[in-house]
Amino acid sequence: MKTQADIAVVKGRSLWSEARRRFYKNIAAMLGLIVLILVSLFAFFGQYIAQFPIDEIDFNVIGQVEQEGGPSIKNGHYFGTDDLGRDLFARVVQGTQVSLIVGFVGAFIAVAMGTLYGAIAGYAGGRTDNIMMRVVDILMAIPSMFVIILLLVMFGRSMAMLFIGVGMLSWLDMSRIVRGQTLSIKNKEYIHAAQAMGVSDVKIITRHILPNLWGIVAVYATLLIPLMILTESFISFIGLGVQEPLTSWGALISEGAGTMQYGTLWQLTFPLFFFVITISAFYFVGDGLRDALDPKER
Amino acid sequence: MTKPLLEVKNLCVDYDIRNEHALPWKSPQTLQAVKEVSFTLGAGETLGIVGESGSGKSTLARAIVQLEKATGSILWGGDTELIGLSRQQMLPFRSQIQFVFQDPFASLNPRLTVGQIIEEPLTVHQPQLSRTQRRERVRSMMHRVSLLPNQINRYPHEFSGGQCQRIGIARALIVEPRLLICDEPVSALDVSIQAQIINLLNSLQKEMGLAMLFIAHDLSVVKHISDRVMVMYLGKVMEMADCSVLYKQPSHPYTQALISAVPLPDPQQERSKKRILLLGDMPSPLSPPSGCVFRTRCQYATTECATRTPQLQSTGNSSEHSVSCHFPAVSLS
Repeated sequence: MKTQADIAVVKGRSLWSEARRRFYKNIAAMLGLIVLILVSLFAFFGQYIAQFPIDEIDFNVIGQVEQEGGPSIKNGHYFGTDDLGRDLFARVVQGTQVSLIVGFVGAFIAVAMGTLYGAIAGYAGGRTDNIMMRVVDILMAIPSMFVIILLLVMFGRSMAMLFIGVGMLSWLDMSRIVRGQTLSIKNKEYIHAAQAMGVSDVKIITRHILPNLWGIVAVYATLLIPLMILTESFISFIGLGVQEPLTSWGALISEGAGTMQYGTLWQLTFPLFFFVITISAFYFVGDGLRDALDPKER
Repeated sequence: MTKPLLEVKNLCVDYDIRNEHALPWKSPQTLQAVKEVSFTLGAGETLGIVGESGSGKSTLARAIVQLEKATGSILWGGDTELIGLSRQQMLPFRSQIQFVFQDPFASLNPRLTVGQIIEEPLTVHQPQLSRTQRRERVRSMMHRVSLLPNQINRYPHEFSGGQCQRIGIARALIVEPRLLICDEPVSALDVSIQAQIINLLNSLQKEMGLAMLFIAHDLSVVKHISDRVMVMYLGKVMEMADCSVLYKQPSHPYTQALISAVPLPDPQQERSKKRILLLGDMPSPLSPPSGCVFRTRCQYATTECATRTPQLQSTGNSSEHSVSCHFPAVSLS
């Protein structure tokens, strides 16, 4: 006869693994994920494929960009050249790197600050919560784009300034969402159970509240990344943002749009193409995550 | 006489209710959820607490484990006052008083495995145990509450309501408490599962010598498990008596009404039984009636009930039987 100990331990299926299964079934989200992986690979390894550095001017094309600078395999300018005769492929790779970094770093700042701030405010409750959230309200009332532009103008255009500006703008929404979620989790019985058991507040937040928050945080973060990219692109489009010879999607699109009427349409379409597919892919993935993590909401 | 395990005296729980749009310097209204409740509980004894929703049963239970701020006195083991203890000072007593919650699903963190859930009290109260020792304790505890120990790595959503409640009970009992507070542990379960859980609690109580505070609004469940029963209404104790006495000779009109509302399994008896219908709802606890709180729904209420507040007094027929009514046992005559 088998005793209790002989029976193999059954492996449980966590909520995460169930969510992963649902996510894999979502075709649009999986396609989005594949596109994102491809774009990331392009950003990481594109520079090894590029035949020219980003700032080298090809004197064979200069002056006759419209005739000679189009996309061609033969002369090594796969995406053509820009108006100054620089290799567009290398520049798009570089722009992709910058835009993705801005997106991820911005979203990371938002998640880290917003989650911590919101979870503390929500869990503390009462007056602490009130003061902390009023601070958020006040910061939200400040037109953020205006502040970012001022920062860039006053302290110079640098990547660091861009991160600070974009990060400051983004954690406010996050903290509100997290705080609301924390409030509802805080009143669940398993939190009361932990309190009655004598579990410390820090342990309750890290062990019981945060793991139940990650779902909504993950969804919001994936939707936040394209927003960060859009913001950065807008700033670069109006001529602030990253400095030459560095570039980003926004800056490239801005240049391409400027030279549209000369018939060098590829200068607009290549950066635009990457921009559009990446943003769409992020939204598809975000949608898929929401459906996967939150099956009741459908 | 041995000292009682738990002695509660004049326990009050007040909430400050602040109107959302009130100006900040306006003083908030006070809601008394529990008013001057006193009782004692001996080791190994079960006290049932019954009453309608909103009568303060759960608040009372939560006040005992300091989940609510309370005033009055909670004497533990005859010598330790629990009210006013700091978190650190309270910690050793938390392992002796454990809680089982009403909703079996909501009381378990969905992101943790059953093993992690059950071992959590051990990590707090017996941190010297090694991981393997803890696992061993969890397995034996799961066995005791009739859960298969090989399901230790499963998650709460993979279990039924009854099983989840067993997990909750295992979590409460793993630190070998002396008092188990059950806040409506069976209200969310099917009747057949209710019986299983009740029987499990009963046998575990005998094995471990647990005292229990059993809250329910199902009188037949309380009758089955309790030694004594306390009836609450609007935060006050209406009647307290030995289980057998209370069900045979309810003295308070409210208790009578509650008992007459219990459905009988025999349809013939059920049809012939006289029911006392309570009209209306429980009054708002923000503005409780003057005098006796039950008078607004009491069929025997007189003007005296509106002016004088009845005290909880012993009835003549038994020393353990006390009631707070000016005209107890009217219906018996």
